Amino acid sequence: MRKRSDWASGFIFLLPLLFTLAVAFLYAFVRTVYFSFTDYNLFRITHFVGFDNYVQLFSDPRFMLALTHSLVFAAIVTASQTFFALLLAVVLNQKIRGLTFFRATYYVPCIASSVAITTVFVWLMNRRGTINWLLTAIGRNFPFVALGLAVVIAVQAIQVYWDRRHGLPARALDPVHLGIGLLAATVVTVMLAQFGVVRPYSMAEVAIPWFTTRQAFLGIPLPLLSIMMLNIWTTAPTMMILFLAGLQDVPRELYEVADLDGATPWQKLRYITVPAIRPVMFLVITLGLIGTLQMFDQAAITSGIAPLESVITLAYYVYWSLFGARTLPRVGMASAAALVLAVLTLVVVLLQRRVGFSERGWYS
Amino acid sequence: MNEERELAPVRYRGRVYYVDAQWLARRRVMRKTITYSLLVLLAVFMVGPLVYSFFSNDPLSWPPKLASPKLWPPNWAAAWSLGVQGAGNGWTGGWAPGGKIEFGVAFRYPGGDTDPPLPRAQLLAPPYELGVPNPVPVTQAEVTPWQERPTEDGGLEVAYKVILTHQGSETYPLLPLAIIGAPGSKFITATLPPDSLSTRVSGTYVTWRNVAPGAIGYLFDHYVRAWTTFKGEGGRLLFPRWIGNSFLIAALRVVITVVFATMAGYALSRLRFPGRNFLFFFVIFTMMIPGQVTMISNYLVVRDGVFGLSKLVGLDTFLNTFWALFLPALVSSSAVFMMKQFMESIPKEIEEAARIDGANTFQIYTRIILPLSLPAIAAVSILTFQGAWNEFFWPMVVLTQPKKYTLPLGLNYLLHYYQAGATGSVWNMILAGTVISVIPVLVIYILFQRYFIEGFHLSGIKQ
Repeated sequence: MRKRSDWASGFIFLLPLLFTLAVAFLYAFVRTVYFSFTDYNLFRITHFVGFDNYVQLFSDPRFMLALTHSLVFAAIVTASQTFFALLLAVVLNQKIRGLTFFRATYYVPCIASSVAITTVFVWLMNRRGTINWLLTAIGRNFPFVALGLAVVIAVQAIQVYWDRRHGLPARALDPVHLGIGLLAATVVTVMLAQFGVVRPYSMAEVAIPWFTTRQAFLGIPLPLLSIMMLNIWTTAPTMMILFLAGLQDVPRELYEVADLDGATPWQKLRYITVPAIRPVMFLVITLGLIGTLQMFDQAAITSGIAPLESVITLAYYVYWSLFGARTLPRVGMASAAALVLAVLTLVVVLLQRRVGFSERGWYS
Repeated sequence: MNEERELAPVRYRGRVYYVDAQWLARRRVMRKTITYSLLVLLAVFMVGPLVYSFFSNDPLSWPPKLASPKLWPPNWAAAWSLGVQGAGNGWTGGWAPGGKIEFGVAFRYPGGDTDPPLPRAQLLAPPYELGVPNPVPVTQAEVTPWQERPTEDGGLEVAYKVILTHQGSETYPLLPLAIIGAPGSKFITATLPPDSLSTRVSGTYVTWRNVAPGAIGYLFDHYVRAWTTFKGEGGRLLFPRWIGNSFLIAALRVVITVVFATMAGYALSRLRFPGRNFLFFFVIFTMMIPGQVTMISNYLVVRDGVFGLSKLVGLDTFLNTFWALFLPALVSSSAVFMMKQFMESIPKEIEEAARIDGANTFQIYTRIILPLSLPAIAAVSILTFQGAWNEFFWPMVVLTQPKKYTLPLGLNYLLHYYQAGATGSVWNMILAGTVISVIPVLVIYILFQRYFIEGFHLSGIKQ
């Protein structure tokens, strides 16, 4: 058969795509580059200013703040959400009933809009909100928790030691022993609490102003930290779905062989699971980095509630220099900042591929 | 009798043990129990905050109330009965002429007070709208002692009957009430749980937003208020409008995306033309470019009416119109990517057979490719709907009038508008609005779960 070439029909089919790419990407990109070298402000006659915008940008403390925030945010959130998502996926990757139900349930935070989720969290993280109340409760009941944990560990150790001495292959986390340990811990804690031997720790009510503050924790502004927490919570499920799909492709035989060799669950995770899902890991980390570096929504939503300096990120800085500041729109600065963000995304993603997880599979 | 024990092999640390089968079975059951407990715990962690905000009744109370009285069915019955007494309507309640409500309330008086003064019942103005004063319903309130009993610590508990009689000729949608107990008294219980409770020197103030709510008026009070309270210019209700806007935009986006993305996906996966691979690479590349880079120029393009195209529909600018929402996202790169990935898995032979039968490219697209791509189309539609429903950044750039807002913008507007002095009742409405905004995607998610997962597989795994 003659080799066809359907460039005519191809062109018609691709027309909408080509229009979008040409106008909304190419034209837009070129214009943004052009604006970044001018002092355009939507109204005045435009002058070419060379690299002035970039120089100004890097001497603007707000921009440097936004840059640091974006980088810190991307590093911490990507790492934590990948870890948390992998944990969720490993827990879910079992042959048990009701798996679809749990998978569906864990995905719920992902389907709500960022505004809805942020609103709920602004409420929960009120100075006198539920999160602070829970923290207070945990802090005050800490002696009981610690006692219970100690009892569980002690009882577990005794039982496992006993079993092993009698030739039974008891694992360190033997489930039946764990159950007995939990029961014993409950009884002991309740008893000691009844007789007043162990008392709740008396501490003041936790009143952390999660959003409405300029305080920082470990150099990270508290509002940004709050956004990190809620962001990890909302994005981890997406990553979990990707991991689950990857986990289901790992050959079962690998685990069976490892069992024969007497591998512990941790070793199996470290030496089989993680290498086998390398391609998914690459995807998750890359998507995570792109998403977190370009975080805008939460910064914009909380910006009126938290101080601007505590939540500003690169993406929000771009918007803010155009529409947020009480000056004329600084199109040049905004364009330069947007390009910095684009280059940063590209560099970080490439760097990640180089030194972190690449998309190449391990056993392929 | 020598009972033979059943043995089962267990591999552990490279050795094989033979253990009692029951020993092993016990471990299996226990492991399952622990796994399920863990799964349930995680489920609470993942959906807890949302469910909690669905049901929260008194959002700013301290300590926070984890359970709402609205979850307690006897209260629904009480609300129904009060609605019937107030306006003969058990569903939505109200305060109509001829209404007569018997309302019970009980206080405790500690320490030797044998003849405590009667609590006062005070009718309040219904806050139909924020900041607008309203007349107090013309109503007579009469408080009579009903039952009393001494408490163990020498105090006295008294239950009162409060009889409210409608005296005017107007119908009110709400009947707010305050009952003020004598100083030092403690509120115990009432026919309907109060909305707020405060102890002051002058007395114990117990207030209800509405003592004739009806079942729906009681359960969905915040939702009704969120719906009816926020008004834009000309007194138009904002909430229904935002919902309408969101639905309209999301639906149009789905249609446009499906049509254009299947067309582009087909061309990229099946048609041969120079530059195909480069174009596909470019599509992937655009997914990595932050929206902020293209936003600046796109904003200007939209402001100038997309090279004058807006003149065709009689507008000078597309700013603050829904047209603006479609320009930069006419074809979404990720949808094209997904469609292309899926269409590549359709066997080529089907297409070739059709071509031999004389079908042209367009016929192949409509008759063969589209019907075979239905699963991918479903996945793309659902993800597009969700994306459009939740979209925040671009609408925020191009829409600046509250009446043009979509739901996320509207919620953001409310959050910012009220954040300084948000009272519990405003928070109630904002949270109710949040819930309203989540429900459509939640329903779609529950119905079409499978396709969400499918969409992920298309976009991620099959590379």
